Amino acid sequence: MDLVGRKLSLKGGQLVRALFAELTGYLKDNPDAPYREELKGAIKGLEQATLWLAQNAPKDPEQAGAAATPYLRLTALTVIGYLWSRMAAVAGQQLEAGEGNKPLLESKQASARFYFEKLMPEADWLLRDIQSGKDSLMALEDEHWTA
Amino acid sequence: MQYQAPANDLRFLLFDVLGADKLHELEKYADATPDLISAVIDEAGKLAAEVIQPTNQVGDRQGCSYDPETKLVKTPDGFKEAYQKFVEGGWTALDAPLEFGGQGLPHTLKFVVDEMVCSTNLSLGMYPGLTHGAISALYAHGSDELKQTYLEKLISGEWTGTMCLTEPQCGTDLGLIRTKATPNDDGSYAIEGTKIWITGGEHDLVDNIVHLVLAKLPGAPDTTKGISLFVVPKFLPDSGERNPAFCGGLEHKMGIKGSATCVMNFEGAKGWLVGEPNKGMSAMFTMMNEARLMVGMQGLGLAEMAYQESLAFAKERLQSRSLSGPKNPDGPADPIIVHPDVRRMLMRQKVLNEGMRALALFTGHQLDLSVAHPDEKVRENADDLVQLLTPVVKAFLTDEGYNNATGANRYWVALASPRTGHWNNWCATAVSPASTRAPTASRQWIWWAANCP
Repeated sequence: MDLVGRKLSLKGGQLVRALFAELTGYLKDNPDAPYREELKGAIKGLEQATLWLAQNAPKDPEQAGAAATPYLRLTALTVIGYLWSRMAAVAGQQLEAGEGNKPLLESKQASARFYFEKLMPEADWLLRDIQSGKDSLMALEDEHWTA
Repeated sequence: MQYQAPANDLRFLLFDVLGADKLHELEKYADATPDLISAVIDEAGKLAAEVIQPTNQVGDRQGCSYDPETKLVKTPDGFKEAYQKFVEGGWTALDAPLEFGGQGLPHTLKFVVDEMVCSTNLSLGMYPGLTHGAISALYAHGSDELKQTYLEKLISGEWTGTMCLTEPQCGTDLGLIRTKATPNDDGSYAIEGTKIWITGGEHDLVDNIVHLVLAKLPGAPDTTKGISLFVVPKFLPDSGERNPAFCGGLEHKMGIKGSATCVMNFEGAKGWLVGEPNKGMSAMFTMMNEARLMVGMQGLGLAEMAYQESLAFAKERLQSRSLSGPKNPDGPADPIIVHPDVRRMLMRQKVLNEGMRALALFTGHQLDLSVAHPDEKVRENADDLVQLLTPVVKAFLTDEGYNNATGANRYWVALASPRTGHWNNWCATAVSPASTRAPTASRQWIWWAANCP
């Protein structure tokens, strides 16, 4: 709740804008960024989730409460995706230049691939979770719990 | 197995990816050259493996013990000696302010050390961990007199500190606090009330314990706007007199048994106001923000140890043949690391750990830029990122720390190995940082579910 309830609206949304500037700035400065399309998709998903919260949370704080956990996880997966792209980029440059610790750099490349193929896709269902809102979480009344 | 610090990964991440090799170009961090950072990584790794790790299992088996006669707490065998070495190595002073005897090094390095300590004995790491929060709160909000009295000894590790927030009826909703602070004639306050879940509230590692206590002044509003912060020492620094701040017992927990989690009874104990009256929340957040990042490192530390043990076991345990033909034809079976589903678990652990380490150190590096960069715009941007990412580091790293420990447990449970018992302890330990997520999502019940016997 600290993230969606407080941090997103601090300074008129400046905090999350700083994050998007960091992420999109990286893609802009690095046209050959590894896993560029996957990362771009994740950033877009995070933008959509943020927009959904901006549209729904102010009129219904429970929507923010319902989205808190998947939104935080989506943020984490996206930022970690950005960092895996950077790690893979550095590993590629060093391998090409014949520098550094070869097994470590090769493992970084394989690990980045695993991240984008096996872990990053979770971002898609997190976005769907967020956008489906609070209804199914809050639907049960007292008599339903004891039915 | 002996812990091996992820030193090569750290150097790659800090120097080649994040640009921490340039921290020494900032005036405040002129000492933090790549050589020094590299030496800190190696020394901390050695300390963790050789001094801290050997205390972990005995700590978990023995736990802390409470004597109701003396109201004192004894830590497990070896904790005092290991803590002494931690202090002698200057590790409590690493990123603390220079003017009170700290080393003034970048916070990024503190993150690095925190991870290693938490990998090897999280319980022991909690004592200096909480002290660090107390140092930051006093440094940011305390009067000069309070700073002179307490900071040097807390930073040197001669004394430890606590954070006394929670009460039986009051967890995440601090407006519900009942502990009272009544003014004395000499400018101090008499503190009365009961606090629970106080990490390091009473123990035998040091001679004095400095409690930072949230309490209400007479007539203060019954909301978070009516809370003030007080410093309450176990022994009064001028007279050495025992202050009536007594441990009423130890909390029963699933894990972190070597960490003394105490019920604390303040029976008119003498305290001094930290910062402004009724502004305790802002001082509390100084401690809390830092504590949240540290809790994230606890999650990562456990996730890393779980991964290292899993990897070692997957290489050594022989079961079945590889689906693509024998890989260990001279042995009775192949090591389980050949199986795709075992790889799935190992890769998930490895890739998430390295990614979480990148996220944490990215945040740590931004924290350093936010305090030390000459350009105000850079400082502000870095601070924005730190504020946004602090809850992310805390929650994601503890969730995955827990997942990783339980995931690792699957190797042993599935194979009915004698190590299962050992691993259950790891999972129980991982419950602790995961349960401190409660304030994030206001899920107080997780804490209770996890820690009540």
